[in-house]
Amino acid sequence: MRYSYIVLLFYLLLPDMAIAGQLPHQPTAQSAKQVYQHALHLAAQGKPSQAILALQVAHSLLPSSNIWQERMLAASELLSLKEKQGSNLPIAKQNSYLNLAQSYLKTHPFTIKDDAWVVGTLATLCPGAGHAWQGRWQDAGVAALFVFPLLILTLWAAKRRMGPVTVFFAFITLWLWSGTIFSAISLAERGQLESYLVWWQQLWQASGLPGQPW
Amino acid sequence: MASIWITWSAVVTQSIRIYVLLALLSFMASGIWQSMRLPVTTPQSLMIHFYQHALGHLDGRSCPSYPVCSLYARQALQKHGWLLGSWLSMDRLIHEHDDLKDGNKKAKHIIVFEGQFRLYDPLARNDFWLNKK
Repeated sequence: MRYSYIVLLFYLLLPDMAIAGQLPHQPTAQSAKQVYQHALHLAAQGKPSQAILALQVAHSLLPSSNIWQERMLAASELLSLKEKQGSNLPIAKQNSYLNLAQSYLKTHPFTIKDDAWVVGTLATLCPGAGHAWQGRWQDAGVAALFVFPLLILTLWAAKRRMGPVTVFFAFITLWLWSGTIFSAISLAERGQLESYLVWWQQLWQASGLPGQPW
Repeated sequence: MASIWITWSAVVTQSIRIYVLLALLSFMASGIWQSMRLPVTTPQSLMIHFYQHALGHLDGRSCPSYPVCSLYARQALQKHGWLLGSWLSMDRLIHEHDDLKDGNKKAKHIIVFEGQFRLYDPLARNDFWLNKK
């Protein structure tokens, strides 16, 4: 699959490069633009590794005087950052797009919204507390409603020494309580990813790169 | 001798009747089984199937999310087994309220399905982190 992209890139770029002496700017820029747009389209389709490869190969083939070479380097760096879910870009003095992104990063660093460990611990200590910590008050109420009635039943059965009934209620409570802890952690993880994607899209727009790979 | 023969023939006749009845019931059961969309092979699938086909229609309020909670639960159970699947289903029931509230603010999670506004909340939106390295 990777080789097919390299062949495609050669197909798009080489004919223009061969006649670049006669027509120095327009055809090469046009082909490079096509490759760039194709790579962004791949990234939007959920194929970021193929997009990064296409951009890196095209970047290595293009002459340094071409504006699209700079754009391809910046786009591949930003897509790689998203792949790793990182928050630091490499310093590139020669690339104006990456410089713009760097200056945005200095003023808008990515901050972790809700740590999954904190949320999980709170949900373990008190059913619903993990959801409340994330500002999800209605969800906290539902989580508490899941656990507390069964917890009270279990304690009541234990107090009356009801044996197997106590064990039955205890298992149901355990299942529901662990489910609410799982839910709190899941929401923290999801919130983390969704806020990261919003931050990354803003970083892309701040870099001034054309197109939107989403 | 004659009474023994009569008794024996009555037992055989009764057995044949039971056999035919069982065969007919089996045929009917296989027909119902084939009409089912989900083969009920596990207790959790049976419960969801019972909800979808017996209880779901009695509940007037339709699920505000897409896919609906019972389908989401079925997908979760099929993909992650009974424990994780049940936790994911529970998570869906818990987070629906505040998601709908947020979803109204952020229109990107709201879709129109069969003429109704629904919260788009597929399984992939919630279980991606389980496979995170």
